[in-house]
Amino acid sequence: MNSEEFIKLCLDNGIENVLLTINNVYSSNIEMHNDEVHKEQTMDVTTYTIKATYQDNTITLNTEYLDESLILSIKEMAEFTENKTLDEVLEAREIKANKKVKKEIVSDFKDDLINAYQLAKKEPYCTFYLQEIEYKAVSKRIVNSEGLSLESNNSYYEYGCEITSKKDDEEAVTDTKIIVVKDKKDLDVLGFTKDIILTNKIHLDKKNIKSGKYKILFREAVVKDLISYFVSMLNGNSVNKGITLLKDSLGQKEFSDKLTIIENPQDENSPSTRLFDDEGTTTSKKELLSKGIIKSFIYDNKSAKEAKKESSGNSYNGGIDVRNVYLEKGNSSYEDLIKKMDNGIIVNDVMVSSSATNINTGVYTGEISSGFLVENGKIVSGISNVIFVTNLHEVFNNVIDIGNEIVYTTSTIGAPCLLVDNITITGGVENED
Amino acid sequence: MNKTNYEELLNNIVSTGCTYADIYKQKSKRKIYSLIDSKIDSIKVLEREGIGLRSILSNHSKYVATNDLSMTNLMEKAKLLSSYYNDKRVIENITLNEEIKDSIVSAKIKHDDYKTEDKIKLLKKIDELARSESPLVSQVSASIIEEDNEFEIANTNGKLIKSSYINTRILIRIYVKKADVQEYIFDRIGSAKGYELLDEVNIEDFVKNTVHDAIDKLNAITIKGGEYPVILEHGFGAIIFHEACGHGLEATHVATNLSCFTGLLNKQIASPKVTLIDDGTIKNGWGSVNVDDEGTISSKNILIENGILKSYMVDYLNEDVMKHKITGNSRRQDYTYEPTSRMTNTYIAKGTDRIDDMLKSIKYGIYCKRMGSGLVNPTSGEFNFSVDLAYLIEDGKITKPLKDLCLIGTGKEILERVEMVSDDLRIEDGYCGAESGTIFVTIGQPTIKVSKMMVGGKDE
Repeated sequence: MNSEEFIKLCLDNGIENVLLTINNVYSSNIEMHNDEVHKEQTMDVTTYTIKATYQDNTITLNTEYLDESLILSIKEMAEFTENKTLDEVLEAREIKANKKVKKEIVSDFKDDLINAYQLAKKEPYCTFYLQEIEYKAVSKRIVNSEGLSLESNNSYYEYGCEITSKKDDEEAVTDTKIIVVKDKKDLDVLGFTKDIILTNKIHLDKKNIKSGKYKILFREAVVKDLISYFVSMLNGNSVNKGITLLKDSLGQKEFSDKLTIIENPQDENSPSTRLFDDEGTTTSKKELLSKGIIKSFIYDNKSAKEAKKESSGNSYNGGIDVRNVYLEKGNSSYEDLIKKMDNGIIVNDVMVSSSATNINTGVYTGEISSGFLVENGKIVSGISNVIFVTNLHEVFNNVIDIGNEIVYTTSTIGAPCLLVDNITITGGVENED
Repeated sequence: MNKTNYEELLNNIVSTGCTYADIYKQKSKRKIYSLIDSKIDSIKVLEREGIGLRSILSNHSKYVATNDLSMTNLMEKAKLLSSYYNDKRVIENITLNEEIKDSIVSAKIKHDDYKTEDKIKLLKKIDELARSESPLVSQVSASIIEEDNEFEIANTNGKLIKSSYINTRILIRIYVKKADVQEYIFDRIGSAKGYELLDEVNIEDFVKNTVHDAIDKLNAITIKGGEYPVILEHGFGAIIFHEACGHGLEATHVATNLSCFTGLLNKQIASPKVTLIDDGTIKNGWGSVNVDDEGTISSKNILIENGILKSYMVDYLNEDVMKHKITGNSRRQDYTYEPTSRMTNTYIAKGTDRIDDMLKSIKYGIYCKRMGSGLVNPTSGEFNFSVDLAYLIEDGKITKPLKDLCLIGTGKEILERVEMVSDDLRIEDGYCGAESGTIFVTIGQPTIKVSKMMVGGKDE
């Protein structure tokens, strides 16, 4: 059954205001183990999100096929949901579709990946080099019972590498790095490999440190996690239910005035471009945090109605989410930030389990899985057995400086490095006191 | 899709020299009924139908996933797979034998046979129970999750297996508030069965215990970081063994020499107190499977016996390179994922020690009651996980509640440090996310004492 036939079927069954999002995700992926292609995968999947109104209640259903059986589900969902919402009818309007995406295979990167392995192989302790490259193309089309027809397309490349080294009888040391770029020409596989080799070399000579308060330079991948945590606290549903720490913070200064976080889904040069969200609301550039002041919560239609506000265009994949969010960069290079820190820790990567964060309290605990000790403005060794116990307010209020380059380590959030002060660390060395 | 369609696709994939191929077709439905603010907030439905085709040569694979089920499209995908090879056909013409496998996981009361009104009543009862238990309860979130999955697996060994699984789960999140501080405790009950699950659980106790633990968490203090002796309460405490050694025993990591347990078969890797079992055959176990995602019948595998490593968990892709029998552990989230070796129901076997003796042996330590989730690097064996609710042990007695704890260590280290194991084995349901997506697993253990662990804390 095609989308037009399904909309007609809904209308014939008393279901109104039917909005159908047709989502095609194509991906091509290669996983290399040293110089061999270990896995090669292709995915081409079309999914549908149906928004429909029955008995004055608008519901959402996700499916991979359209058939008559869905009518019963729509009616059951609308009938038994007590927290009712009624979406307005979206009139047909013009949004110019952006460029269509190609469905290409990433096999032309194989030579680059093999050359990268040749570099890693030269390292005396390197035992394994894993690389993965993925091309992803996403097409969204929205149609409804009023003749609306919108289209938004996006594609990006994601490259990840993981190097494992082992020295004598010591435990193996692994470092991982991921980058997401919009344009193939921005993917410098060899440069990226040189970087991870250097990180792993320092990490290999790791030592335990004392517990205490430290200055910390968080690398981009970790700052991305912190931004993601912050964004989850702005979720309109959580705000409405009173279960986020920031529920009463709109317009309030909560964090350092050095921090500004922006969402710009319309930006064609960032990896997660979207012209409209899954409910057809046109997206726009907006400040989530401006100089430490909370500027916006993020809503879909339902949560916005409940809060008596307008949708902020953040309905994605059946929930509330963001596209092209970034922390505004500062002026200092990575090297400048190390000098400025003088003594402290660089955190390349962390292991934070999902339950080690809590939007109610802001707690943020985990293990530094890759980090360096810095003394007198220079990296002196790797570190091991280090746990941090902090919270979002502590990190975002103790900002000393921000890096001058935004890196996307996931398609939706970009981040520069962040230098902060006064973070509690539990180390593996007994303090003398 | 009929038998002839599968045969045609498989014969096409293997025409250019790959040594194995399989097809996984899935039709599934996930339904979530959610309550918050004492009202039914949403009913969410996710319907999926798609197919994954795979070819293998040596220990390398090619995989295509699609949900356009027309034979024209599927033949194109089969040809894409065969285009990766350029050799003579090595597998003879494939003829499939159909089998149905449904002896381990099945339902007495199917999801659609239980009235929607009764599901709603159950959620409201949970809400009322929690709110009447304490005035500190500020919010209750409760959900019922229903999963129904029908699948077919056809492979070049001549099998066409039809099977299914059903999972039912009740989740609660109880929020408590005092002054401006709000905390919550999350808990769940789940099983690979239908609504007969409700005949076996005491919802009142389940909710009340969660409320009381949430209140304890509200009153909890932080503790200074450092090394402490630790008691892990039975049940979900086993996440530490799931993370610390379970993942390291999966073929995905062992075959590439990336696991810290590679090459240690038949060697002592743990305290003699430790026997670790992975058993996909537990009747209606949350992590049980009638058949794994390559069509192998699931089995009970002793991974570690009295501290000695006895088996890894191995799938078809890694069988040859590891020279190890297939163990029925090949699993995936759905057809968009290629399967790989994963855990099913994994638990530490019962011991003979007494909990009283464990407590008495500790002057100052930590009793972990509710574990959060955890992470592991299978190569170094380093793991960390958060503790949702713990208590201080002082002079052999459980005293103050503790919060914001994080435990770290390595797999080898903790396995060696298991000092006492009681006989109160408890198995609990959870999800595990890894290379082949998020799957149902159970983890379990009796109450265990670990002589010392590194604990991240904050002395305020």
